[in-house]
Amino acid sequence: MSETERLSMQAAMEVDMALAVLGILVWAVIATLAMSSLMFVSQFRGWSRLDLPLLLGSLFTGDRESASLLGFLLNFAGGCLIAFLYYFAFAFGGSGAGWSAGLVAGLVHGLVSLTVFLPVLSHIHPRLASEHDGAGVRRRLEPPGFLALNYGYRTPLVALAAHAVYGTVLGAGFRLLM
Amino acid sequence: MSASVSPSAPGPDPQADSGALVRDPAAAEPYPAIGDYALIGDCRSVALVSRTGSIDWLCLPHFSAPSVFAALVDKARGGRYLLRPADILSCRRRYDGDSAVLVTTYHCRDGILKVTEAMSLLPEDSGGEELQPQHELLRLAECVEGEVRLQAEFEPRPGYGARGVRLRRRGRLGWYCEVDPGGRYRNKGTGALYLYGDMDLQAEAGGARLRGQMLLREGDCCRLAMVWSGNGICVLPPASEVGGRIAGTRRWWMQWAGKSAYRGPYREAVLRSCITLKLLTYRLSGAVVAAATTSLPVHQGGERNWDYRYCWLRDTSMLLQCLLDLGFRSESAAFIDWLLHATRLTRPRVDVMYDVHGNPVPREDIARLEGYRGLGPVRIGNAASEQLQLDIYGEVLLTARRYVEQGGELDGHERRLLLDLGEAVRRHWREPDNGIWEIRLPRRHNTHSKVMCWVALDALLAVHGQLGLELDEEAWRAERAAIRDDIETHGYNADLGSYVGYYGGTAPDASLLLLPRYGYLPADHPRMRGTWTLIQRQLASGELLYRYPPGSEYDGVGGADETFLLCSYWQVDYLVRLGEYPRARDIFERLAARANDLGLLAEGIAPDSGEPAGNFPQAFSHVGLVVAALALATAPEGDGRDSGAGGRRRAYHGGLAGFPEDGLSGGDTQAEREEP
Repeated sequence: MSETERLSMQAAMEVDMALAVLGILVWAVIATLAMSSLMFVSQFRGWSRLDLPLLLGSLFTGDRESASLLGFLLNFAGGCLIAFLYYFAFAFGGSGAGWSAGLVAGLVHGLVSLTVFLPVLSHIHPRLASEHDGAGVRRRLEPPGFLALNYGYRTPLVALAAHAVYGTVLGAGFRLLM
Repeated sequence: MSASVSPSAPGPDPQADSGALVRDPAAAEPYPAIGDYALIGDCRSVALVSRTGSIDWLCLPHFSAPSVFAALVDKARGGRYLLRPADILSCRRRYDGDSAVLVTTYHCRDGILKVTEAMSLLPEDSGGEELQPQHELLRLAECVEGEVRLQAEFEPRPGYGARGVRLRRRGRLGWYCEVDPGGRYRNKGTGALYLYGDMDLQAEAGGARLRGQMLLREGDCCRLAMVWSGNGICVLPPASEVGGRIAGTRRWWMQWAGKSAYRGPYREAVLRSCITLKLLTYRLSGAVVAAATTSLPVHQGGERNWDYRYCWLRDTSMLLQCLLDLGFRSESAAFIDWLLHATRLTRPRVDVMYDVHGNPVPREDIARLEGYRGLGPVRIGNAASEQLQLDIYGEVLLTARRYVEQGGELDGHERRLLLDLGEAVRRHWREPDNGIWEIRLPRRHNTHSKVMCWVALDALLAVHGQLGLELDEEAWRAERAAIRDDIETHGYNADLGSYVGYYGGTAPDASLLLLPRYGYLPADHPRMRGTWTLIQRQLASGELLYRYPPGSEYDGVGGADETFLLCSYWQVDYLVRLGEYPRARDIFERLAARANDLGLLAEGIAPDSGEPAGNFPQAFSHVGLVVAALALATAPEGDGRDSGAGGRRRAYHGGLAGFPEDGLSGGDTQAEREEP
């Protein structure tokens, strides 16, 4: 293979890679928007009081508006980054991508969020109060509790459904890319 | 149980309390008198607190949302939040300075207890960097002498008493429950409530209710905070901040009241009215609700139970005209913004009323509550929202006129809105309507409505004179003159020597007292004097005034009517314009004495018992008080009989379109040419 051919192939691979990353990002944005929308609607309809943007943003600021905006950006960026994990899991996990694989992955993701992420967050979050110590001058945000049930008894279902939608969209979308 | 000592509580010494002393309130009848209630709020919702420490009315998250506590209209099913000493001998109460922070001092058998309560509103400089709750109701009980056994009961009943709750303990965070009004209200008041503080509370009735008691000795206090979150995560400021947050709320109110430019007589009553009106203003939109409550009966055994927790454009416009006169301009700017938003779907037609978000008022429904003292029905929603009330256009355009006259600016959209409203008047003024009193009979030609159509065009022409609107001035002037001709031909009864309530009728209507105020004609015009005489003969009961002849077929609603405080105050405005200052002052002072011990006014006064009647507190009544006081502020000291050269009176130009000293009517020269 000549140097020219090698360079040409490398350029083609780089273009393919860029297109693949772009494709992943497009589906990541779509899936994250779908998940965020569902969470927002469920909050608006009174199904759950879980407000992930506020929860994330208030890690850094006590100003509600700033926290909500910052939290939305963090949540969005997180959703996009985690989409890459989904991609690699589908690519190297053996089962390949597809809506059903995405659905399962989303449910697992949701369960991990409820049982690991939120409890850990409760411990490190500077503004979350605790049932053990009560509210404080700074720690005044209602804690999520087991499976985030403090934010309404439908919250685990809403969270699982939102993650399921996220996973399903990614699974279906990535199938088109693979 | 724990008791904290010496909190940073606001307010002067309780010994300095100036409120009326009432003996043995615990022995009062099961339903307190309407005037026994105090009002606290956060400019998004309000709570009514009885003299015996029971919060009997609170709707969340806003005025017209489903109730959380509604013992006001059903003691058994409504739900309440009680905090009071166990053995009350007497109590005094007052607001803390120019604020909506309520201070009640209970004299008990073994001591004195002071309870300070408020819904928090914090100045921007005191919120710090921390998150604030959506709604927060704070109560601070301090034992100032001896020892007092304090008792509390907390029983939320969402959805106008239709639903129970299940209160659960959340460790040191306190007690918590989900609030779901259910049924048709499900999406309007869903949220979560927390109650926490120093008192050890126990659940009863399967978690439907909490009760607690604690003994306070001199210097001890008990702090309780109730926090609400509608659809987000609750923010729970620590109970240790209760005293400071009440102090912050007091400071917020003092800062707001400090904006008032009013330096005239009866300052205390005027400022209390302004604070009450501000409490009824939804600060997220600028809308003002007509009253805090629904279905407090006007008359025993009548059908006159209405839901007033909505924004009537008429009431709001009248209110803002007052606030403008008192120097509160930002409220008017907010209202015009809200109006643009609310009318986006119906322009150029405007509805009679909207909810605080500018949405249509829900259809009328009957709640399963027995009503105040068993005098149901308890209505939710208001059927009058479907009526045609032409006077609204005049009130809204007058507000805009006053706003512009005081230097307010209007952008292109707002100017377009005003023109649209004027156009609607030109198109519809010949039609019959339901009028200012929302008559539930077939529509008719109400004289007041026609006058307000005249006022609408007059105000628009005045705004045009200031800002230069895109209108055909001559055509609009001709239309205004045509309205006046119509009124003078059909709305005036030569045999009676008086204007009448509606074309072809013979009954007077108290709203006609406003004609001089609107600049339609001077107070001493023979036609106006004749109208005043007829009104006094047929509508007056002492210093009080009925809206129209009582017991007549005037309004098509069963049951007797009550005297109406707003109309009663209009007498003062009219008499000042007439130059009869001593009589005006006398009526004002006798009306002011009808307020409760905190200066709050209901819709009216029951003629038989003399008790406040109807929804409470009523924005309209407080608007009347302010209008009357503003009028009196222009009166000379003494009896005023010798004021001015040659017996000429000092003309009152306050309020709306004042009239010039030569006694001719109108806000401009064209009005003079049209004068009958």
